[in-house]
Amino acid sequence: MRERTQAAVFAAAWLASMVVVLAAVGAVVPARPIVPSEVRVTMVIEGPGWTIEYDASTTNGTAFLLMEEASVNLGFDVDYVEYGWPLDDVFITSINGTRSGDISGYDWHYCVNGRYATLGALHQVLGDGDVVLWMYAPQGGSELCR
Amino acid sequence: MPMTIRARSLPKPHLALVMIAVGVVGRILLAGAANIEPVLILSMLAGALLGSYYTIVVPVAIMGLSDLYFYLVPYGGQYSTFAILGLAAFVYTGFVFVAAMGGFAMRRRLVWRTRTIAVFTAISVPLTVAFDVWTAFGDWLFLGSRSGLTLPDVYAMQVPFTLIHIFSSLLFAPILGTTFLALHLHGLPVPGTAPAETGRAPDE
Repeated sequence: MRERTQAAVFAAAWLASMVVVLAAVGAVVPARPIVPSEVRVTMVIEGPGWTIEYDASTTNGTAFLLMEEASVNLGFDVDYVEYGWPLDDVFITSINGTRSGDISGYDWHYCVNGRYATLGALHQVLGDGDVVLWMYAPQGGSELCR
Repeated sequence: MPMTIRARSLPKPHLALVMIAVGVVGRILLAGAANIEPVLILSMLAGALLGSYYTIVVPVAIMGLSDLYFYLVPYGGQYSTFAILGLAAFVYTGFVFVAAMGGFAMRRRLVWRTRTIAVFTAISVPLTVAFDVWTAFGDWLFLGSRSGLTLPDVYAMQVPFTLIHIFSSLLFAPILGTTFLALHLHGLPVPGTAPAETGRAPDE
Protein backbone atom coordinates (compact mmCIF):
# COMPACT_ATOMS: atom_id res chain seq x y z
CA MET A 1 0.00 0.00 0.00
CA ARG A 2 1.34 3.44 -0.88
CA GLU A 3 2.36 5.76 1.94
CA ARG A 4 -0.43 8.27 1.22
CA THR A 5 -3.06 5.53 1.21
CA GLN A 6 -1.69 4.18 4.48
CA ALA A 7 -1.84 7.66 6.00
CA ALA A 8 -5.45 8.13 4.87
CA VAL A 9 -6.47 4.70 6.22
CA PHE A 10 -4.72 5.42 9.51
CA ALA A 11 -6.36 8.86 9.85
CA ALA A 12 -9.80 7.34 9.23
CA ALA A 13 -9.18 4.51 11.72
CA TRP A 14 -7.82 7.03 14.26
CA LEU A 15 -10.88 9.27 14.05
CA ALA A 16 -13.27 6.30 14.10
CA SER A 17 -11.59 4.81 17.19
CA MET A 18 -11.88 8.11 19.04
CA VAL A 19 -15.58 8.39 18.14
CA VAL A 20 -16.18 4.83 19.42
CA VAL A 21 -14.36 5.52 22.70
CA LEU A 22 -16.21 8.84 23.14
CA ALA A 23 -19.53 7.04 22.63
CA ALA A 24 -18.51 4.48 25.27
CA VAL A 25 -17.59 7.31 27.67
CA GLY A 26 -20.98 8.93 27.05
CA ALA A 27 -22.68 5.62 27.83
CA VAL A 28 -21.02 5.16 31.22
CA VAL A 29 -20.73 8.74 32.56
CA PRO A 30 -23.91 10.01 34.28
CA ALA A 31 -25.80 12.65 32.31
CA ARG A 32 -26.55 16.09 33.70
CA PRO A 33 -29.50 15.72 36.09
CA ILE A 34 -32.92 17.17 35.46
CA VAL A 35 -33.62 19.27 38.53
CA PRO A 36 -37.21 19.15 39.85
CA SER A 37 -39.21 22.40 39.89
CA GLU A 38 -39.33 22.94 43.67
CA VAL A 39 -38.55 20.74 46.66
CA ARG A 40 -38.64 21.09 50.42
CA VAL A 41 -35.26 19.96 51.77
CA THR A 42 -33.16 20.09 54.92
CA MET A 43 -29.38 20.34 55.04
CA VAL A 44 -27.20 19.83 58.10
CA ILE A 45 -23.47 20.59 58.00
CA GLU A 46 -21.39 19.17 60.85
CA GLY A 47 -17.96 20.76 61.13
CA PRO A 48 -15.39 20.40 63.90
CA GLY A 49 -17.18 22.01 66.86
CA TRP A 50 -19.91 23.72 64.83
CA THR A 51 -23.16 22.84 63.06
CA ILE A 52 -25.13 24.69 60.39
CA GLU A 53 -28.74 23.81 59.63
CA TYR A 54 -30.63 25.00 56.58
CA ASP A 55 -34.26 24.29 55.76
CA ALA A 56 -35.70 25.55 52.50
CA SER A 57 -38.19 25.26 49.71
CA THR A 58 -35.95 25.59 46.71
CA THR A 59 -35.53 25.12 43.00
CA ASN A 60 -31.80 24.44 43.58
CA GLY A 61 -32.49 20.74 43.72
CA THR A 62 -29.02 19.19 43.80
CA ALA A 63 -26.74 18.73 46.81
CA PHE A 64 -24.24 21.24 45.44
CA LEU A 65 -26.75 23.92 44.35
CA LEU A 66 -28.41 23.69 47.77
CA MET A 67 -25.02 24.17 49.43
CA GLU A 68 -24.36 27.26 47.29
CA GLU A 69 -27.81 28.65 48.11
CA ALA A 70 -27.27 28.10 51.85
CA SER A 71 -23.84 29.71 51.73
CA VAL A 72 -25.33 32.85 50.18
CA ASN A 73 -28.39 32.99 52.46
CA LEU A 74 -26.56 32.17 55.71
CA GLY A 75 -23.29 33.92 54.86
CA PHE A 76 -20.61 31.21 55.03
CA ASP A 77 -17.88 30.37 52.54
CA VAL A 78 -17.73 27.30 50.31
CA ASP A 79 -14.71 26.39 48.17
CA TYR A 80 -14.59 23.64 45.62
CA VAL A 81 -12.58 22.21 42.75
CA GLU A 82 -14.43 22.03 39.44
CA TYR A 83 -14.01 19.05 37.14
CA GLY A 84 -14.82 19.65 33.48
CA TRP A 85 -15.85 17.25 30.76
CA PRO A 86 -16.72 14.44 31.01
CA LEU A 87 -17.39 14.46 34.76
CA ASP A 88 -18.82 18.01 34.96
CA ASP A 89 -18.92 17.94 38.72
CA VAL A 90 -17.34 19.51 41.78
CA PHE A 91 -15.38 18.40 44.82
CA ILE A 92 -16.04 20.54 47.88
CA THR A 93 -12.77 21.39 49.59
CA SER A 94 -13.86 23.86 52.26
CA ILE A 95 -17.05 24.80 54.14
CA ASN A 96 -17.25 27.70 56.60
CA GLY A 97 -13.47 27.97 56.71
CA THR A 98 -12.84 24.27 57.43
CA ARG A 99 -10.68 22.89 54.64
CA SER A 100 -10.06 19.30 53.56
CA GLY A 101 -6.85 18.23 55.20
CA ASP A 102 -6.93 20.84 58.01
CA ILE A 103 -7.04 17.71 60.13
CA SER A 104 -4.89 15.08 58.42
CA GLY A 105 -7.04 12.67 56.41
CA TYR A 106 -10.28 14.61 56.95
CA ASP A 107 -12.52 15.59 54.03
CA TRP A 108 -16.06 16.76 53.43
CA HIS A 109 -18.47 13.86 52.83
CA TYR A 110 -22.22 13.84 52.41
CA CYS A 111 -25.18 11.52 52.87
CA VAL A 112 -28.74 11.81 51.59
CA ASN A 113 -31.44 10.33 53.83
CA GLY A 114 -28.81 8.33 55.71
CA ARG A 115 -27.16 6.90 52.60
CA TYR A 116 -23.56 7.67 51.66
CA ALA A 117 -23.39 9.62 48.41
CA THR A 118 -22.39 7.72 45.31
CA LEU A 119 -22.63 10.70 42.94
CA GLY A 120 -20.82 14.03 42.78
CA ALA A 121 -22.74 16.78 44.58
CA LEU A 122 -23.67 18.48 41.31
CA HIS A 123 -25.31 15.32 40.00
CA GLN A 124 -27.09 14.38 43.25
CA VAL A 125 -30.73 15.33 42.67
CA LEU A 126 -32.81 16.01 45.81
CA GLY A 127 -36.42 14.98 46.25
CA ASP A 128 -39.16 16.47 48.41
CA GLY A 129 -38.43 15.90 52.11
CA ASP A 130 -34.81 14.80 51.60
CA VAL A 131 -32.28 15.40 54.35
CA VAL A 132 -28.69 16.12 53.29
CA LEU A 133 -25.98 15.67 55.90
CA TRP A 134 -22.48 17.03 55.25
CA MET A 135 -19.80 15.98 57.69
CA TYR A 136 -16.12 16.67 58.16
CA ALA A 137 -14.70 13.22 58.75
CA PRO A 138 -11.86 10.86 57.94
CA GLN A 139 -12.18 8.53 54.94
CA GLY A 140 -15.23 6.38 55.44
CA GLY A 141 -18.22 4.95 53.67
CA SER A 142 -21.77 4.12 54.65
CA GLU A 143 -20.87 3.94 58.36
CA LEU A 144 -20.45 7.74 58.32
CA CYS A 145 -24.17 8.21 57.65
CA ARG A 146 -25.45 6.17 60.58
CA MET B 1 18.99 36.68 -0.26
CA PRO B 2 16.68 33.65 -0.43
CA MET B 3 15.56 32.22 2.92
CA THR B 4 15.43 28.50 3.48
CA ILE B 5 14.44 26.21 6.30
CA ARG B 6 17.17 23.94 7.53
CA ALA B 7 17.04 21.26 10.20
CA ARG B 8 19.16 21.52 13.32
CA SER B 9 19.57 18.19 15.05
CA LEU B 10 18.43 18.06 18.67
CA PRO B 11 20.68 16.26 21.14
CA LYS B 12 18.92 13.83 23.50
CA PRO B 13 19.11 16.08 26.59
CA HIS B 14 17.42 18.92 24.65
CA LEU B 15 14.70 16.61 23.32
CA ALA B 16 14.16 15.35 26.87
CA LEU B 17 13.81 18.93 28.12
CA VAL B 18 11.22 19.69 25.44
CA MET B 19 9.30 16.55 26.43
CA ILE B 20 9.41 17.53 30.10
CA ALA B 21 8.25 21.09 29.35
CA VAL B 22 5.37 19.88 27.14
CA GLY B 23 4.40 17.31 29.77
CA VAL B 24 4.38 19.72 32.72
CA VAL B 25 2.50 22.48 30.88
CA GLY B 26 0.09 19.99 29.26
CA ARG B 27 -0.71 18.24 32.53
CA ILE B 28 -1.37 21.53 34.34
CA LEU B 29 -3.46 23.04 31.53
CA LEU B 30 -5.55 19.88 31.15
CA ALA B 31 -6.03 19.29 34.89
CA GLY B 32 -9.72 20.23 34.70
CA ALA B 33 -10.47 17.31 32.38
CA ALA B 34 -9.94 14.13 34.40
CA ASN B 35 -7.55 11.64 32.74
CA ILE B 36 -6.95 13.76 29.65
CA GLU B 37 -3.19 14.07 29.87
CA PRO B 38 -0.10 13.89 27.64
CA VAL B 39 2.25 12.29 30.21
CA LEU B 40 1.60 8.67 29.28
CA ILE B 41 2.36 9.28 25.60
CA LEU B 42 5.43 11.39 26.43
CA SER B 43 6.65 8.57 28.70
CA MET B 44 6.28 6.11 25.80
CA LEU B 45 8.15 8.53 23.56
CA ALA B 46 10.95 8.93 26.11
CA GLY B 47 11.39 5.16 26.12
CA ALA B 48 11.11 4.82 22.35
CA LEU B 49 13.18 7.79 21.18
CA LEU B 50 15.64 8.41 24.00
CA GLY B 51 15.93 5.15 25.93
CA SER B 52 18.55 4.62 28.65
CA TYR B 53 18.05 6.63 31.87
CA TYR B 54 15.64 9.00 30.08
CA THR B 55 13.08 6.20 30.51
CA ILE B 56 13.03 7.15 34.18
CA VAL B 57 14.10 10.82 34.09
CA VAL B 58 11.44 12.13 31.69
CA PRO B 59 8.28 10.69 33.34
CA VAL B 60 9.56 11.31 36.87
CA ALA B 61 10.55 14.92 36.04
CA ILE B 62 7.17 15.65 34.40
CA MET B 63 5.24 14.20 37.33
CA GLY B 64 7.54 15.62 40.00
CA LEU B 65 7.41 19.19 38.68
CA SER B 66 3.67 19.17 38.00
CA ASP B 67 2.89 17.43 41.33
CA LEU B 68 4.86 20.15 43.07
CA TYR B 69 2.47 22.66 41.51
CA PHE B 70 -0.70 20.63 42.20
CA TYR B 71 0.00 19.78 45.82
CA LEU B 72 1.22 23.28 46.67
CA VAL B 73 -1.49 25.23 44.81
CA PRO B 74 -4.94 23.71 44.09
CA TYR B 75 -4.77 20.65 46.35
CA GLY B 76 -2.71 22.23 49.14
CA GLY B 77 -3.34 20.31 52.38
CA GLN B 78 -6.17 18.29 50.85
CA TYR B 79 -4.48 14.90 51.08
CA SER B 80 -2.31 13.40 53.77
CA THR B 81 1.40 13.01 53.06
CA PHE B 82 0.97 9.23 53.43
CA ALA B 83 -1.73 9.13 50.73
CA ILE B 84 0.26 11.45 48.41
CA LEU B 85 3.45 9.40 48.67
CA GLY B 86 1.61 6.10 48.41
CA LEU B 87 -0.30 7.11 45.28
CA ALA B 88 2.80 8.75 43.80
CA ALA B 89 4.72 5.49 44.12
CA PHE B 90 2.12 3.74 41.95
CA VAL B 91 1.69 6.57 39.44
CA TYR B 92 5.42 7.20 38.95
CA THR B 93 6.31 3.51 38.62
CA GLY B 94 3.35 3.16 36.25
CA PHE B 95 4.73 5.83 33.94
CA VAL B 96 8.25 4.39 34.12
CA PHE B 97 6.80 0.98 33.18
CA VAL B 98 4.99 2.60 30.23
CA ALA B 99 8.25 4.29 29.15
CA ALA B 100 10.15 1.01 29.37
CA MET B 101 7.49 -0.82 27.38
CA GLY B 102 7.40 2.00 24.82
CA GLY B 103 11.14 1.56 24.36
CA PHE B 104 10.88 -2.22 24.18
CA ALA B 105 8.11 -2.12 21.57
CA MET B 106 9.25 0.80 19.42
CA ARG B 107 13.02 1.24 19.44
CA ARG B 108 13.61 -0.91 16.35
CA ARG B 109 10.72 0.64 14.41
CA LEU B 110 11.75 4.30 14.36
CA VAL B 111 11.36 5.20 10.70
CA TRP B 112 9.47 8.10 9.17
CA ARG B 113 6.44 6.05 8.11
CA THR B 114 2.72 6.07 8.84
CA ARG B 115 3.14 2.51 10.06
CA THR B 116 5.42 3.69 12.90
CA ILE B 117 2.80 6.11 14.22
CA ALA B 118 0.02 3.56 13.72
CA VAL B 119 1.89 0.91 15.73
CA PHE B 120 2.80 3.50 18.37
CA THR B 121 -0.87 4.57 18.69
CA ALA B 122 -2.10 0.97 18.84
CA ILE B 123 0.43 0.04 21.56
CA SER B 124 -0.63 3.04 23.65
CA VAL B 125 -4.08 1.51 24.26
CA PRO B 126 -3.05 -1.67 26.16
CA LEU B 127 -0.36 0.31 27.97
CA THR B 128 -3.03 2.81 29.11
CA VAL B 129 -5.17 -0.04 30.42
CA ALA B 130 -2.18 -1.63 32.20
CA PHE B 131 -1.27 1.73 33.74
CA ASP B 132 -4.83 2.25 35.00
CA VAL B 133 -5.07 -1.28 36.45
CA TRP B 134 -1.85 -0.65 38.37
CA THR B 135 -2.71 2.86 39.62
CA ALA B 136 -6.31 1.91 40.53
CA PHE B 137 -4.80 -0.78 42.73
CA GLY B 138 -2.69 1.92 44.41
CA ASP B 139 -5.78 4.11 44.70
CA TRP B 140 -7.61 1.28 46.46
CA LEU B 141 -4.64 0.55 48.73
CA PHE B 142 -4.13 4.13 49.91
CA LEU B 143 -7.61 5.71 49.61
CA GLY B 144 -10.38 3.28 48.65
CA SER B 145 -9.78 0.59 51.27
CA ARG B 146 -9.94 3.31 53.96
CA SER B 147 -13.38 4.29 52.60
CA GLY B 148 -14.65 0.75 52.94
CA LEU B 149 -14.45 0.09 49.19
CA THR B 150 -13.39 -3.32 47.88
CA LEU B 151 -10.91 -3.73 45.04
CA PRO B 152 -13.67 -4.81 42.59
CA ASP B 153 -15.63 -1.64 43.62
CA VAL B 154 -12.61 0.51 42.75
CA TYR B 155 -12.08 -1.24 39.41
CA ALA B 156 -15.78 -0.85 38.56
CA MET B 157 -15.62 2.87 39.37
CA GLN B 158 -12.43 3.11 37.30
CA VAL B 159 -14.11 2.01 34.03
CA PRO B 160 -15.26 5.46 32.80
CA PHE B 161 -11.92 7.00 33.78
CA THR B 162 -10.02 4.33 31.85
CA LEU B 163 -12.20 4.92 28.79
CA ILE B 164 -11.41 8.62 29.03
CA HIS B 165 -7.74 7.78 29.46
CA ILE B 166 -7.82 5.60 26.33
CA PHE B 167 -9.41 8.51 24.47
CA SER B 168 -6.62 10.75 25.74
CA SER B 169 -3.94 8.33 24.54
CA LEU B 170 -5.62 7.91 21.14
CA LEU B 171 -5.76 11.69 20.83
CA PHE B 172 -2.17 12.45 21.82
CA ALA B 173 -0.31 9.42 20.40
CA PRO B 174 -0.37 10.51 16.73
CA ILE B 175 -0.01 14.23 17.51
CA LEU B 176 2.92 14.00 19.92
CA GLY B 177 4.28 10.87 18.24
CA THR B 178 4.57 12.54 14.84
CA THR B 179 5.98 15.75 16.32
CA PHE B 180 8.68 14.13 18.45
CA LEU B 181 9.54 11.48 15.86
CA ALA B 182 10.15 14.30 13.37
CA LEU B 183 12.30 16.18 15.88
CA HIS B 184 14.24 13.01 16.64
CA LEU B 185 14.80 11.89 13.05
CA HIS B 186 15.02 15.21 11.18
CA GLY B 187 15.84 17.80 13.86
CA LEU B 188 14.34 21.18 14.63
CA PRO B 189 13.43 23.29 11.58
CA VAL B 190 15.09 26.69 11.85
CA PRO B 191 15.22 29.55 9.34
CA GLY B 192 18.50 29.95 7.55
CA THR B 193 19.99 31.31 4.38
CA ALA B 194 20.43 29.33 1.22
CA PRO B 195 24.01 28.22 0.68
CA ALA B 196 25.98 30.75 -1.40
CA GLU B 197 26.73 30.00 -5.07
CA THR B 198 30.28 28.74 -5.29
CA GLY B 199 30.65 28.31 -9.03
CA ARG B 200 32.39 31.12 -10.99
CA ALA B 201 31.19 32.46 -14.31
CA PRO B 202 33.46 31.26 -17.16
CA ASP B 203 34.48 34.76 -18.25
CA GLU B 204 35.45 36.00 -14.73
